Amino acid sequence: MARHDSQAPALEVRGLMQAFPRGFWLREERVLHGVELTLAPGEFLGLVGPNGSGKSTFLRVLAGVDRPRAGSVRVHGEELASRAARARIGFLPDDSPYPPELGARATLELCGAFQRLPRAQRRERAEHWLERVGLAHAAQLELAKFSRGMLRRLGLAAALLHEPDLILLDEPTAGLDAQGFEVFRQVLDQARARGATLIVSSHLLTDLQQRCDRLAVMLDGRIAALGAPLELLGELGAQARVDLVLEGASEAQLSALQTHASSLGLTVRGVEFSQPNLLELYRQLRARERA
Amino acid sequence: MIAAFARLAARRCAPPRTLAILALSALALAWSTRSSPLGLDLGARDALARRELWSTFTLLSAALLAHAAASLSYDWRRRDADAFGGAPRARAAVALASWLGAWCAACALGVAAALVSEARPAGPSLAREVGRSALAASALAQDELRLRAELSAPRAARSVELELGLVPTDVFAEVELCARRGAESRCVGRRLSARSTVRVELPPGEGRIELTLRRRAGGALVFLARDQAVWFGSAIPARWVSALVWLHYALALAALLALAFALGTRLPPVLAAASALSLALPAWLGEHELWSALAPGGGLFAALEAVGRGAAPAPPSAEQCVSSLALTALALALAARGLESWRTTR
Repeated sequence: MARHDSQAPALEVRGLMQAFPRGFWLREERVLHGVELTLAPGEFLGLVGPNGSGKSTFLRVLAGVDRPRAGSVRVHGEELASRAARARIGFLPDDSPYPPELGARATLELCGAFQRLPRAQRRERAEHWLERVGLAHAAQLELAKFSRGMLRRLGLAAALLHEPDLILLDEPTAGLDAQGFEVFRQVLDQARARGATLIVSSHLLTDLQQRCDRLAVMLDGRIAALGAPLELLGELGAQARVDLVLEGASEAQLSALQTHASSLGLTVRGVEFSQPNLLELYRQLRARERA
Repeated sequence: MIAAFARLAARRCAPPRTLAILALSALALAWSTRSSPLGLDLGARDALARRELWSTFTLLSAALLAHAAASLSYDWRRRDADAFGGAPRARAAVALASWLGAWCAACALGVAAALVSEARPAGPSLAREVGRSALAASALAQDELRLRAELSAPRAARSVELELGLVPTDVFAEVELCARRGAESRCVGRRLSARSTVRVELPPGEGRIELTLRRRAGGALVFLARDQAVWFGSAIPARWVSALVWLHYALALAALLALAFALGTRLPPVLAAASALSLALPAWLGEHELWSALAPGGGLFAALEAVGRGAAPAPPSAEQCVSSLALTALALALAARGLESWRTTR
């Protein structure tokens, strides 16, 4: 699609609040507390946060699945409630909630019908995306017989079927195999190449760190930190542990490396790379909020 | 309207297990009505078999389909909303497609029931019921002339029928029922030994009809078992009877399924289906005349009763059509609102 109003942000979220009734007396429990966010067209935002922090609720509200209690969401300058805004959004929910009675092709065609695509276009795009995500061989198979990874691939195809400008992916890599990861990367690159804006929620920082422009950390229904991934992870400071894995290094080189590290006040302890510790990041952010 | 979603709803409402239950029930009924231990004639046996099949099918399918329609809302809340809820489609379109799918499934099952019901050698033509008139309930034919009533016959009426009861002070009573219009009259005599109906043709022409009932022989007391005279029009082929019942069934199910679907947006499917049925069944089975005439599906069991008596039922009245459409529209509006707000404003 990619028909951007160059003046307007791709996404503008102001004071977003969401609450659900809980317990016998249906007392309201707030899940989102005045979330604010602005994304430029073509930007890629990584969304991380512990379980129950409100990531999925936030994405569902942005996708127009749930109505927020308060606040506003504008997509390329248009109110989320408008049909035009909704037609520009593609959403992959976190639990693959597609009709188990239908086959993959029929599901994509149904998604196309909900997106108001003409019948011929629905068929053509369903075929294209089945091929693209590697499910052409299972086009007729009932979704009840799909593995989790196959359902994620189908979800990806369903979210991108109508070429949306704003793509919201909730845990897209959960259950994907190596080939699925590759498909996911290619599809994301292609979407970015045509100027789409992306928000991807994940528990795996490696999914996001190298690709996203900014990283948002959600804690207790708020965006507790927002910034470039390296900046944010740099906040870990002295607590960060980096294991370097070097291939083909000679002893002399290693020795020189150790000496250099020591001169910098560092110690080289291992030979494997470990990903930055998200848990540590959450803990620090919580402590900062309390302070 | 989302045609593909309506097809999915139809598929969810008539899954293989529902079809299997209904097919099993149809087979059992077809087997049980093969012979008549009471020695009824072919026409009466046909009429009873047809009524039994439709009554069983109606109650069984209404319960299964009401639950399936309520489950459509549940499926939306539990799963479909996340997959399709963000798309630029109004919830009203989702509600309409879901209901339409459920109703089409009901109509298709009704067609199957009609085919099963008529899959036997064609019986005689059956007169079609065109109306009813109230009679004094206390009339009794004891010796000579005991009942005389002057009634206004519907324009399409060709014959009139009374249902008579018998107090067995003797083994039988021979009665004569006459219909007079102006100078012309038609009479029919019947020997009664149990409760039964007597039908007499109307003289040609227009104007009021004078009915007289007299006992000619036998000692048993005869009384009016139903305080209504039933008017019949021209005969139609027996096979069309199921088509008329199907019209009543489709109308009744339209409102019931919309109600179950609407309640399903707020309640668990079993409770929603039970609530919808508890509202519908009194209207279907109740004897109150006004309620039966106006309530959605109110004419369904009256039609089945006519079928059991060996007559073709009257088609649904305009009032019943209007009330069914109104209730369906109201329920769909509530359903659309329920689908819109189920996760945020309870």
